[in-house]
Amino acid sequence: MFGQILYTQVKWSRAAVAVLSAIAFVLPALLWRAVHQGWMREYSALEVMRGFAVLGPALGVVAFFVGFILVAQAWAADAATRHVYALSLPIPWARYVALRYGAGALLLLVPTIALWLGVMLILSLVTIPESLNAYPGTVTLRFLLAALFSYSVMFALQYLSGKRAAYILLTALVGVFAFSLVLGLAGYGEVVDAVTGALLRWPGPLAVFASDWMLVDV
Amino acid sequence: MSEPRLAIAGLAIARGALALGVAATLALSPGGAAAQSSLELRARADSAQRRATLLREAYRRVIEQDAPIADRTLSLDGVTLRYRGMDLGSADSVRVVEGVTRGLARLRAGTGAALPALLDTAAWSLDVRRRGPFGSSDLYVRDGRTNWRHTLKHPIQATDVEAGLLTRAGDRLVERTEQLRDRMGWFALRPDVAPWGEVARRLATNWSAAGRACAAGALASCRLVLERYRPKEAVTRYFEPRDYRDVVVSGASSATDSLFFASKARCVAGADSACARIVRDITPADPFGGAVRGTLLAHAIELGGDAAVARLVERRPADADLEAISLLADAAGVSEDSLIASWHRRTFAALEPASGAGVPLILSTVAWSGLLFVASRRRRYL
Repeated sequence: MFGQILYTQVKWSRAAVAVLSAIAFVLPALLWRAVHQGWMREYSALEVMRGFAVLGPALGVVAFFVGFILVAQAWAADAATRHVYALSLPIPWARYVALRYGAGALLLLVPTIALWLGVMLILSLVTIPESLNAYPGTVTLRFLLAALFSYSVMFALQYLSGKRAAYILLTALVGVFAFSLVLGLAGYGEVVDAVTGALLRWPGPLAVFASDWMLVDV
Repeated sequence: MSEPRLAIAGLAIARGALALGVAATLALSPGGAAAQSSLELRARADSAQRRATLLREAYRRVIEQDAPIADRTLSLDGVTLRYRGMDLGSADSVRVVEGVTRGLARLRAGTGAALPALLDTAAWSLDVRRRGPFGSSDLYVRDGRTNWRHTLKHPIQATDVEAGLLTRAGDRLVERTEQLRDRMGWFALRPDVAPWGEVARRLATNWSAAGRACAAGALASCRLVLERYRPKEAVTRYFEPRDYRDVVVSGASSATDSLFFASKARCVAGADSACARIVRDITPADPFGGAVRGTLLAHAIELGGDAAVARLVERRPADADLEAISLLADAAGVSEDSLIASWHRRTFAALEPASGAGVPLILSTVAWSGLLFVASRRRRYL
């Protein structure tokens, strides 16, 4: 049964996964190239750090979109046929959801492997100064974790709220923005800071996005 | 109306009256300006100008120097602290008092008997000014010499006042001692500020060979880093030939000849020989900064406790000849080599993974994802 669900997941989201994997593969080299216009000469430690400075935040954004796309594509394909395929399967809904979640989560590995290859490629082209170290495994793992969390949030939102997911997401985003704005203007900025800190600091749910994403560091 | 406001109003009225008087004299005198010689008129105008300048100066003094006249005074542990808060309510006042009390207690704990000497002016004053209708404030801490101003995003809190006192006391510590003036002291008495990781990263990625060697564990290079920065010897002390291009690009030079600029252009383009030729004409920017050197002061205080502060505050004639590292080692009660070695360990230990990195982060992220997965199976809502 899982094979069938995985097959449909691949079929529905292969184009998007391919595009995102290509982006993840070229991103490290592309961002380095945008900063330094080359990779043949010897770079100082600061130049190397600068060359990879934007990579972390950029990978965080890509990880978010990977999770988002994998949920949205599968749901959209199911919803187009009014979920006839899901409901006609001889398994309970909860099991179907579990299989669908597992299939999507497995596909997260594709852009992750592409990223790892891209990272290894750029590290083979650039000489890292002796005072610095490269962390290809750490960055790739962070990417996978961030994509997994993003996928799980989107999956829960989609499968708990159905076709109203977009409205709920939009309302939540506007609500959070308005709430923090009002609190800040009313002089309670520290409350906003405290809530943000709790979300972003370990063991908060968004800690993976706020953690160290440097490919090259001391 | 408070005393300074009365004085300001009085001066403003006097200044206006003087201007009117000068204008009336010039305009209403028989025959006006024509009846006076131009020399006499100029002399009168100069006199009026001088008096206006004197009045303006007096006005400025009232505004800038005499403004922090105390609304309230606190005397705790033999230290007098004046404070005032324009537009503050009673709740804010309670927070200021709490912050002052906590700040002085922390200073007393961290500096021991040296506190009165550290706060060696007649009194410090705090001035809290609300900036707008939404609660943000400016906190000024003055000690008779300089001001420390901190903009707050929120209504004044006790922790702000406490941090202000500790910050200013740390600054005073380095201002008092000639050898320490090249380093930041504001975080020396604030255990809540941890610059170590940032300093370690700055050294490891430093554009000077000395900084990078220090990061790699060469304690002799760390000594160079922590000593007073010597701009005239900087090129030979801190840099290697492979750093020269960075020195040329970022340093300052008084050379204006076309030969220099031609060599600089070749150096920037990658010609090492051109860099070596002109690097002696360059005064490089300090590659470490006061924050890096300031961590040695903070570390010496960590090691020596309040006795270290007392030793730094105490002035002995023999101290005048000591270098900063010797002075700090003496204050910490250890040898110079030992101080530098423990500073290195302390600084680079900050780079070790903090909680929330590695396995804990994996576990927490998987746990959050698992929770969301379990929640998503709870209902079917198409």
